Parts: sequence; C-alpha cells; structure tokens
Amino acid sequence: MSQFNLVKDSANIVITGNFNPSIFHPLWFSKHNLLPERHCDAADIEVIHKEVAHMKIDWLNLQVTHDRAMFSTSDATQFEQLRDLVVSVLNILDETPLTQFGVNREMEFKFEETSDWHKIGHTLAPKEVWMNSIADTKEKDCGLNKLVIQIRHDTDFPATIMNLTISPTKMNHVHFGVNNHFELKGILDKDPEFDISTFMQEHWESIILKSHDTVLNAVIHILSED
Amino acid sequence: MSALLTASREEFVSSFDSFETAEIARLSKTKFLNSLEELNNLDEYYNKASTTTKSISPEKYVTNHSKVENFLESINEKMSLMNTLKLVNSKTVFAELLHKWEGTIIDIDSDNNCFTAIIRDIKDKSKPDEKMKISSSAIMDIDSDVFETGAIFYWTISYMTNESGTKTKQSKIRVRRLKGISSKEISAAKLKAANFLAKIKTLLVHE
Repeated sequence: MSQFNLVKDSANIVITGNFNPSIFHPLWFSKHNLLPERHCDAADIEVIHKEVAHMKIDWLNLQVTHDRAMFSTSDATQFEQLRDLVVSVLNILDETPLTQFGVNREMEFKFEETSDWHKIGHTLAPKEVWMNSIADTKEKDCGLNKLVIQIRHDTDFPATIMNLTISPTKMNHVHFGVNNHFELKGILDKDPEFDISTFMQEHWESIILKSHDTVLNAVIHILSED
Repeated sequence: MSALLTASREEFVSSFDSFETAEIARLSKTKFLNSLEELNNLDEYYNKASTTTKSISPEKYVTNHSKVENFLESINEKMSLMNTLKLVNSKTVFAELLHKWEGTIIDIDSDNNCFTAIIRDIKDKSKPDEKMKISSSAIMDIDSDVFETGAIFYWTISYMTNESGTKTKQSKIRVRRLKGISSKEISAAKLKAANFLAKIKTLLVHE
C-alpha cells in the first residue's frame, strides 16, 4: 500500500496594488495591536526601506514592495491568524488601490516508496514523447522537473484561476504549490461592492481546504491507478 | 568536580539566554532561577566538603559527601529540564495540524482561573457547537492583552516537528487580533439593523 506524508505546509497571501513599504515596520504592527508586542520587539528585520520591507515576526514572513505585498507562514497552526492579519491590514489601509490577490498553499509530500515518487512524475509528464523526439534518450535521462497546471472555475464568483505547480525537491519528495488567483478588476466590474476583507473571512477556510484536497485527490488518484 | 559544576551552571544560563524570547522558556526561567538559588546553597556544602575533608570527622565527611551527591543529582535533573526545554523551543520546521476549533469567550472566571467558551469545529462544520470550561493558563502570556469576554480564539492540536526531527504533540490557543471593519461589513450590519427594526415595528403594530 502506498504511503506518503505531508512534511511541509505553508500558506501565503499575495496582494498586488500600490503600497508604501516603509510603513510596514514591526512597530506599526505593534501599535495597531495586530501582533503581540513581544513578538514585534523580537522581529527579525532583513530590510525596511522606502522601496522594500522584508522581515520575520514570529510566525509571519512579510515582503512588501511598491506593487506587491506577500504575507506568509510556514506554521499550519497560524493559518487563521495569517488571514486575520491580512484582513486587519487591509481594513486599516482601506484606501490602498489593489489590483489582484492570491491565496496560496505550498505543500511538500514525502513518498515512502521511490516507485510511488516516480509514478507521480511519470503520470503527470509521460516520458515517451520526449524519448521519441530526441534520438537515444533513455528513460532515466528525462523526468519531471517542474510542471504548471491551470484550472479555471469561471462558474464561481469570483472566478478563480487555480495554478498548480508540481516539482520534485529531492529524492522521494514532491512540492505542490497551489495558487488561487483573483483579478480584482473583473470582480469589481461584476460586483462594485466586493470587498477582499469580507471575502477572505467568508472563503478562507474553503480555499485553504480545497487547495489541500485538490492535491491530495490527485496524488491518491495517481497512486491508485494500475 | 567543581569545574563540572561551574560549566554546567554556565551552560544552563547561556542556554536559557539563547532562547530568551521563547514563551515557555521565559515562564520556566523564573522556576529555574529559583532552583539555581537552591543550588547555590548546596554549592556551599560542596565547597565545604572538598576543602575540609581532611579536618572533619569521617561521619561529617560522609554527610557532606552525600550532600554533594544530592547536589549533582539536582544538576542532572536541571539538565534534563534543559533538554526538554530545548526540544520544546527548537525552531519548529513543520506543524502537522490534527484539529482546529474556533472559540468565543463568553465568560471569564478569574477566581477559578478558567473561562467558558463556545467552540466550533473548523475542520468539520457539521459538528454542533460545544460549550466548555477551559483553564485560563491555556492562554499564552503574549495574548493576555486581548483575552476578554467576547474575544475569538483558535485552538489547534498539532504534531510539531523541530529542527532535530523530534515530533511532539502540541495544544495551542491563540486569541484573535482582528482590527477594523470593512465597508461591506458596515453595510451588512446596517441592513441587519434595518430588518430588525422593521420586525419590531411590525410587532408593535400588531399589539
């Protein structure tokens, strides 16, 4: 029986728009009581500049430039706090022009059997076509390095574009990145009242769960095939 | 032997300082420092034993020697505590979530150091809400500023794997810090209030 385990699990929210990186200082988070003061005091600051802010505050990783803000955590017990923090930031900076946002989950699975690990690659990226296209290419000489699958859900509102990235990280390990992408312009054309904060609060759990289940279902499906 | 004791003591203190910011270590540090004071007292017995063995009677030597042995035993206990703390405080590289609930604090009983909450299963929403009493000690010190009636909290149970690969089961409660209110939430609240008012007016007309 195939065995595989989740060995890494992280989530991030990426928002594109027009930001002022220099305000993203641990003191700003502390002042608004968005994170515990003690964690803000112990923040690991890479850089805070008018062009870029990059820091780690306890479970939170933050990278902000003029046109992009990424909030992430690799601690699965803090996923809801990540959502709350982003919602709070957007509520405080409610005049910030935003264009797109993504709710993303990154997972890495370890497969106990190397044959199962190969099966994932062979199924998603069959080698025959490449072995036939270049003479003398042996099976062991080609394999999946990185694959991106796009799944559109136009019937949902807002319409979701799910980008799945699959790449082996090391022997028996495969990374699955799930990017749930939302275009704000199209959404606001259909619903001028649309609000990211409300959307995040209402749909966060289902998006995070769906990201996990999509990957899990695909892996189970591949491994159960003869 | 004396060098061993000194080294061990320095090791304790520097190890604590190295994870000063860790919550559990911070709480345990006070406990540890109290123990260290006790050790200082025992240390005097050790010095006495090592410097006066020739001049004291065999009975006294045995007594002091036994106290030194107790002292060393105590050191071992502290070392064990240190190792446990190191495991707890090692940087978590992976959290495997087993269960997650969202709770609302409905009452805080300061006298009995507990609070009452309604908890909802986040992973399985078909499960009914539960009312339960939880010890206030479960609230992390860093969240004490937001621990109040009406506050929302997240309760997670997970396997935490640290850098050294050690897997430990952890139960954690973190109180929600949500700021501001969106324009849509204000509109929704206004609509709800208007509907509520309309219902009240209807009831009053019927009466």
